[in-house]
Amino acid sequence: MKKLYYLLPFIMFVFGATDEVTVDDSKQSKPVIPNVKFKDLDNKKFMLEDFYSSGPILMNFWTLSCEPCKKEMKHLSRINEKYKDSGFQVVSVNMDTPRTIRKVKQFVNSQKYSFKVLSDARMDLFMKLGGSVMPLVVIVNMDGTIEKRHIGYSPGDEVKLEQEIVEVIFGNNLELPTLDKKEESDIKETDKDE
Amino acid sequence: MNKVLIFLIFITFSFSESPSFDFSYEMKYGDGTGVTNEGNTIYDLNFNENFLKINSNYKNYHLYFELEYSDPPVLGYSSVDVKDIFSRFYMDSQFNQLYLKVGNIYTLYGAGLGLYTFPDQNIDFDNSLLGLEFKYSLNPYYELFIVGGASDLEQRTNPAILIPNRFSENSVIAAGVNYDTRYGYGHILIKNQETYMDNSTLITFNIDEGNRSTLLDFDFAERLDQMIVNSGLSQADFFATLNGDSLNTKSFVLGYGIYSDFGDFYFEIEQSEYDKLLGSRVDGSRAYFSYGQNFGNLGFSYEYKNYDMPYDILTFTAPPTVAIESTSILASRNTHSVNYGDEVGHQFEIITPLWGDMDFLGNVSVSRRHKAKNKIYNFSRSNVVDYINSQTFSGVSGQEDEYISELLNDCDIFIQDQDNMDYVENNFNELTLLDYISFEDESEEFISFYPYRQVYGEISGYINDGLYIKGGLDIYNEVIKHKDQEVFNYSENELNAAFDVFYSNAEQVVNNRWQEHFDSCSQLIGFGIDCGGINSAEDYANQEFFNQFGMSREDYLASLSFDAESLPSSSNHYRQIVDAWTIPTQFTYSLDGAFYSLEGWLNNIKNSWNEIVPYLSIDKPIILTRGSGKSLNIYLEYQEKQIAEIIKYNIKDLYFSGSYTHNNFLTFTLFYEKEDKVYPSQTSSDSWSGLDLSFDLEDYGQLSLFYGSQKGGRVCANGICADQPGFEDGLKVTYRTFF
Repeated sequence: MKKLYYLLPFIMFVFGATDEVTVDDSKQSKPVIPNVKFKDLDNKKFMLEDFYSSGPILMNFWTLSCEPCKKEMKHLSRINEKYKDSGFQVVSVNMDTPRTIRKVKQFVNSQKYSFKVLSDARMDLFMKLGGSVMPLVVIVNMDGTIEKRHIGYSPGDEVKLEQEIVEVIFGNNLELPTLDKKEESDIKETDKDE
Repeated sequence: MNKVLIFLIFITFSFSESPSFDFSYEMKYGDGTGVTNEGNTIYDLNFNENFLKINSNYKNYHLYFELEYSDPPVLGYSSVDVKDIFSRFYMDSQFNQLYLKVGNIYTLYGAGLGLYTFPDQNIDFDNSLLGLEFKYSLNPYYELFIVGGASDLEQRTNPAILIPNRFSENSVIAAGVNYDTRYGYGHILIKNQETYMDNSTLITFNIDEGNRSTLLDFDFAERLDQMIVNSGLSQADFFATLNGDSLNTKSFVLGYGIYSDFGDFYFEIEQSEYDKLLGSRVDGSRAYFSYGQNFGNLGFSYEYKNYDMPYDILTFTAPPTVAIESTSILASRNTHSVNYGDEVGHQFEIITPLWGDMDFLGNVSVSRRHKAKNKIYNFSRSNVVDYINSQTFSGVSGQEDEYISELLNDCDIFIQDQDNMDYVENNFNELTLLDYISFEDESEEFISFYPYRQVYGEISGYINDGLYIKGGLDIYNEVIKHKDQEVFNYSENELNAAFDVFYSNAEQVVNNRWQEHFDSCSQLIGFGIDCGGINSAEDYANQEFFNQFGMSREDYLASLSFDAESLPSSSNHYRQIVDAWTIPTQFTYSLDGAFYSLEGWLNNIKNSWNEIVPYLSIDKPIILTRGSGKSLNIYLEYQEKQIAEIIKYNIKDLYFSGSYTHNNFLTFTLFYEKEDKVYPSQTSSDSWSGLDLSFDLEDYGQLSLFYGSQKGGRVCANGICADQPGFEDGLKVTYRTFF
């Protein structure tokens, strides 16, 4: 078995030479999110790229036992609804293991979240993002680069998150959706405060 | 792990075109006093843990490194040498049809009955295989896979132990197919596992009487005792003759699920053939089933488990618990200790919106062992009669008293020895739903099943944008330890009948002896000689009998009886039963919302004022200084617990933590916990308090400083629970960042 490891670097080059480079070199200052395979709660398969290629995404990693995660998700659902017309979307990643995963779909359906929920019971992407505690929120640009990461949630964090989402939407050359007057004035007021 | 390999891969990535590197760092430092959960061992608890996780992407390759420098960690061994610092590593690649992973393999198939490897830093656990995982998609519906590797697994007899005490060398190979078709999805897995444990680990499975709780515990300890007796050696010498034990497990696992309009069904079965520790080869199985459906807004889920591999040692699998894992601090200390080798259980859960953003969650979890029995020992005269008849007096004259005394003593031992009784294993009827509802923990029959019941209900949600509340009730009942009851039936008629046989035997010996004296004296008197000054043969025989037996013949025979008071009673078994109820509450209040509400309220008053007193009207709107990210977060919990062992005692626990977050930057938290233990004859109290300051440094990470004491106890993370040591009068620092 150990001898196989020595082949590893060579395998990497051999396979690597035949595959297209998926990352734009000009964006290399920011880490790139791995393009991993997921299933949603209805067993449909997705590649992560399917989501961020059409607009920036906010990913939140959570489990049923994470109370702050569930508090945050209510706000994320509202944010997703508000900015979805700009191409932005929230992609939620549940990491419940087989011990608890069978309750996830019922929980999600009862909450009527506006975003897509994927399942990562192996915590594969969470590990690849260096995650250690939840909730973990990652904002990803359309080229797959990671714009922001946050761990933990306190009430009010969603205000800051929303500001960052607006910046990311502009940063990816997208336009904000048409907002009603109150929402527009809220954003202006926030900008003024800053 | 081979450092040359790591170096090669690192160089490969570093010199490759445009690799993407991503780092995360976590530091935990503590300086205080540790207290084991029994509360009787206090030690210096200083820890310094540093974790650096490096992720790198290059084309379709991903490289993961975890470096750990711990000197020492909270749990486990220090990691200061280079070979230990590189604690975890893997590289994986995803191509169109091919997936390859090499290094520490963390993987999961289905519900985890066949193969599930994962790390859990909280409890110092990592059952990853150092090897490779390979998947190849034949088409969109079928995928072949193979996983293989080796692991020097470190485990603990009890999670409270600070360093591992069970070590095994393992090699595992598993292969199969994942399928995902319109008719359902799932997997078929075939696994072969070789495990070697040395003598020092084997000894740890010999659990002391009183702490045994599983069939594995009882079976191994009883067989080991027998093996040692049969060998004629001491335990130490017996183990010296062993060279550890090699175990083989062959498993077949089938998982099948389907999503339909009638709900989502999934089941998984495992059939295994495996070796008992120092024992024979046995068969076992595990089965899991789940069903979930939404009826309108009401979400319903049901899970069932039937785990029947009682002599299996869980290593690279982690089947579903099918029991609630509470989010409450106090209730989670009562998390059910699942017996993955011998348990049948059900779990029902509903979640439904009530009004606004408020939800109700209800959960009922129950489980029991497969079989429960008591051991009935019936005394029968036949064995002891045979014994008495085989022990005829064969000594020389003058030893009759010793013979009868020894025979009586031997009869008592014989009668008390359960091996000389007729043994009947009495299997109890299986439990019904009513048994779980009533939970009669005084019933020997009921508690023999190690029953567990937990009922939980909570209402939680946002009252408005600013206020989140949660209130719940958790009721927990579980038999943690229990030994099969041994019932000893000594029928009076049988005992009397046996004694009659003994008595007639003794009477005959006594009478013979008396007669000897009588006859010898009669002969002398016949020759005109007295018997030592006594002229009556009867008197002489009486005197000589008295000299030998210390009393008259009649008194002696009347003094004989079996030792009825020393007969074993039916109550010589131990138990530990826990009953608890917990009320967890939580309040989260966004002060931004409060400022808005207060502002609106004040402006309404102002408007009313302007209408009532127009000549003193206030023109300007009232605007309060609005903070951003100011909030309060309060956890308040109360628990009462009764533990029934040899004696019953109660524990009352109050837990409070209150946090204030300022501008999303600083969070100040106060912890307080008070525990009263009420014993029949005394009461003791203890309390813990601490302060925590946490800083959200945005791009520079999160820093947390804790000073004070924390109660040790069960910490549950990702379905696994561990007893963490308590911490007193010390400082803890935690820092996390990405860069």
